[in-house]
Amino acid sequence: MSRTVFIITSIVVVIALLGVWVYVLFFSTPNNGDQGGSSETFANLDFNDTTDPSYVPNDTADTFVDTDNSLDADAADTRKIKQLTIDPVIGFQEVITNNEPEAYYITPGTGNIFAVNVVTNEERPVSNTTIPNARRGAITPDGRFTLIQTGTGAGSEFVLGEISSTSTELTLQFLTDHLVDFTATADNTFLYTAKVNNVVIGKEYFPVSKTSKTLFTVPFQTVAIRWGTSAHTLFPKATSQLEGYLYQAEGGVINRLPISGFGISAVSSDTHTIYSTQENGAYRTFTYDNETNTQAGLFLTAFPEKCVATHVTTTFLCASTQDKYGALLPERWYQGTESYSDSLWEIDLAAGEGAVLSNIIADTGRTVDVINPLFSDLQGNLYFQNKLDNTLWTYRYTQDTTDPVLTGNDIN
Amino acid sequence: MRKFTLLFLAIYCLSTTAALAQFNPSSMGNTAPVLELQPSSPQPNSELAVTVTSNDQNLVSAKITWYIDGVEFVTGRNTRTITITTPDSGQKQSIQAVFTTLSGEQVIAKTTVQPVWLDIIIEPQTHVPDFYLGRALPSIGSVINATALISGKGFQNPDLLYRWTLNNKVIGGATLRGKNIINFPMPIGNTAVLALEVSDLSGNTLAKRLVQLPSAQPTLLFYEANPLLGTKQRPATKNFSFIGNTTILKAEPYHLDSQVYNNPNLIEWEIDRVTYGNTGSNPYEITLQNNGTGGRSYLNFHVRDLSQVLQGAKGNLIINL
Repeated sequence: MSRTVFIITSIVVVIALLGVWVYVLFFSTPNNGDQGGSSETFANLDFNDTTDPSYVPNDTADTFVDTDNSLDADAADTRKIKQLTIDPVIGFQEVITNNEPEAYYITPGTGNIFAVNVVTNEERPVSNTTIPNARRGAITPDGRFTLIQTGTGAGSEFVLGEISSTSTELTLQFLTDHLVDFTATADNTFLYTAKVNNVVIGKEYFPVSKTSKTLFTVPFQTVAIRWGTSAHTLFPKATSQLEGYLYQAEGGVINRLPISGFGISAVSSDTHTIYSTQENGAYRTFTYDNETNTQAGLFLTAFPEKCVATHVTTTFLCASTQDKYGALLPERWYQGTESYSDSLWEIDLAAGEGAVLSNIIADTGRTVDVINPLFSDLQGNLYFQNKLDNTLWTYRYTQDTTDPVLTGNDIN
Repeated sequence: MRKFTLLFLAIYCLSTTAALAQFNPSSMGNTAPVLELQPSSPQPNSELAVTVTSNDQNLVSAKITWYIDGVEFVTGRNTRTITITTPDSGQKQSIQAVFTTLSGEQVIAKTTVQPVWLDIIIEPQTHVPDFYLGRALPSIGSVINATALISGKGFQNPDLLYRWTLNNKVIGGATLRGKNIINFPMPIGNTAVLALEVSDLSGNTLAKRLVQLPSAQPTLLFYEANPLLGTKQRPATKNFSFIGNTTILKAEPYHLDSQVYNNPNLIEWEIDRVTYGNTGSNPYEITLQNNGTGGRSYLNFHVRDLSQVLQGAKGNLIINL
């Protein structure tokens, strides 16, 4: 075939294809199946009569189908560690409701109480009674009573609230004692200390009968208390520049423990005490066996304020970092001029082992400076606050899922 | 006359009297061994060094045997010093060193140790914030409460004698009965030494203790406060970023004498060199309002007692708008 013929033939084919395309685009109409012909609908966008400007309501409601239950409020949140509140709290407690753990918490300023389901994260109000200038609080584990401090310093007052199961109103009663420190017990009472003249008196308050009994008398005022079940650990508030001493109050008697040091503070179980003190310019942590009267160094350095005993008296949960702890502790942490990004540790003093439960910043992306740990042996949950913003957190503690890091002879 | 003078001189020069200065007649010939304790007032469950000393030349070659509560301390045979562990608080422990001479004669030195805890709780009456978990420190001129607790004799036994000294000066002028709590102002200096000796009514020393008191300079930190949420527990940084329309800053003068804190002669806020004397119900708080213009402002705070000028604190912040 000559070149001329080839070119002419190609032009004719292109023109024919263009003609077909123009016809299909502008002049072709599909046949609808309901008109007897075969269905040739390619994409009916259902615009209806687009020349009609009136609103045409859609009879069929738009529905969103949640196919994986990710937005279902009843779905379980299986994370081991999580933040329970985005707002600060001034007191909290685990309360079992309908066989599920709820974290009751008190909001600052108003004293309102809310409950967040630890499993499903669902939140509900418990009390909307406003207690102005609420600054600190405690709730009994049965969820029936709360003790709230309003104001600070010499102007503070203390109010007992009875939580109703049928309404969100509290029944209030002001206490006459000027409390210094208070906590709720597993027996649904309150333990507190009150300043009287030059001494501090420890008392147990029974909210049902509105009575109290004296537990012990401390002959000095600047005292820190670590409340226990039957024995309570006392010491002068810690500073690295003055010596402190540990005492134990039990059965109305205060006994001196053979532990002292600069900057000393402690936490105890029924059988053991973990304490930290300054030693040779460094802040170090030690253990004391209350029954054998023996002391030993701990492989980990931790503020005892970040530690809590579990239901096993030889096992503690502590928050700590791998940072070096230097001089002028613990006061620099108390002031807030030093803060820490903690990991959660399990310390088994009987086995001499320790293990990291959670590297919080790696697991959550958040820096948490743990304070006020509370272990609830109802379901084995650990609760704590972040000192940086006072929000509430929880860790689901189960002993068989820890990753062992240190064992046996690794403990000093 | 001359003979009389010579006789007088002879009588005066030839008569002699014994000089007894620095001479104790009762020690003449007293070579009995004695036990010395180091420390002299041991604490319970602690190490105690016991040394036997004697000037008797007859005991130089004697065999020495130690007994603790009647049981021979084997490792101390023929040694002059032993180290033992004291018992629990309030328990008695007898210590004997028995010298047996070559002729079989025995000479015994003995003592009884009853260790007790003597704790001195120092409570400076200076200011720290309500959220602060620690103890305040003393500053010059501030009042310190000191409480002595002695175990084994009852924590607050009124039948004990207390001799308090501050920098070697006796507090209260004398030993005081039942005075286990005292208060005193912190003296000038970087440190002070508080010592205490506790005795029973017979004058026997039960325990001694010495405490060094540090002197802190009042230090100012600023914290953000919120009427609803309370006070943040982290101090504001030197360069403070002012976010929002309003913020409250609270000045906390750590270790300022509580009396000065509650009733200062001078307390004032200054913003860009303009002084604000009255900022509201709490003079340690200031409410700042953003007027919409950017830039930075300089905030200063000063609190002081004008009669005790060392009782005061100053601080400042740069506020970035």
